[in-house]
Amino acid sequence: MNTRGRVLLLGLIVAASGASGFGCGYEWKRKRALEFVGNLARVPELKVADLAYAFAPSSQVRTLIEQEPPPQGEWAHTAKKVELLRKLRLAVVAAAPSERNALLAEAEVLCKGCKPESIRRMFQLYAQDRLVPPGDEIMCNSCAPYRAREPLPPLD
Amino acid sequence: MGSHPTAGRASEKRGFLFLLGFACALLAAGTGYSIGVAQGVRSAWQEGLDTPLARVGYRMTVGKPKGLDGFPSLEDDLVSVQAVLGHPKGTMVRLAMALQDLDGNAGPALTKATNMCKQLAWPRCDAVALRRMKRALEK
Repeated sequence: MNTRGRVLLLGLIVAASGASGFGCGYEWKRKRALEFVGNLARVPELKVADLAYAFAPSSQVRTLIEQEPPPQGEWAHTAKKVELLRKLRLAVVAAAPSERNALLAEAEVLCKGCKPESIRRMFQLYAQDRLVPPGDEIMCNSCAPYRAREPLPPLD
Repeated sequence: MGSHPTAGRASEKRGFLFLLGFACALLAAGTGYSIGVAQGVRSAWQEGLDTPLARVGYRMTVGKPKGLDGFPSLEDDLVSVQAVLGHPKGTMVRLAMALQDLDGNAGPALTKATNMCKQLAWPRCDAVALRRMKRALEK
């Protein structure tokens, strides 16, 4: 092979290596970055849900919880657990004690093998996340009256 | 009988050229990989941020956009988000964005956040409650 042929071959090898390096780097990083960026669209709703759960009036929180879509795709197997937790959050914002107790009873049915105390404990943990103004205590017949972990101070 | 000196030199030259070719190919692959990684990230960001919700999510988690082409204004995105999510969720997103700029007990950010909070008819829209909301968002 003459010198010109060798240079041409070298150029081809270099170009092919560069192209394959580019392809590998592009696909690998793009896939990983898309996994992260893809979750950004869910951020506003998740942040807003947390904010509303702590500060919004019960009626709004209730609407938001009721509008939550059930888990889909790879998370479909968690549907029952999500429904149980949904009942507990709805119990926290229930309008009347009777409604709250009915929701807790439904949660007990959903959680087969759970002790009623465990359901009450989970309910109280969820109730702690509501930063309600003082005086707006959450109660159910068999739960102790509950005050938020960090209640909002009274207005001056 | 020893090998011919010219044949030895030719063999050395071939070996050198092979090594040079290998080194060039390796260098090209490395350079290509680095450029590919940078382009891959850029492409993913541009592809992933093509919805207003994703762009607002970016602003909530990463901050103000820098170095990304064609990023619409926050107000445009908030209008689109409001249209997608409706009331009260869209207004809550507006409140969350206003809370991000909250700093101190006065200023336009506080006025904006207070107005959003009142639109939502939340029980507490005073400065103390709004600062608590901001802290809750930052967790």
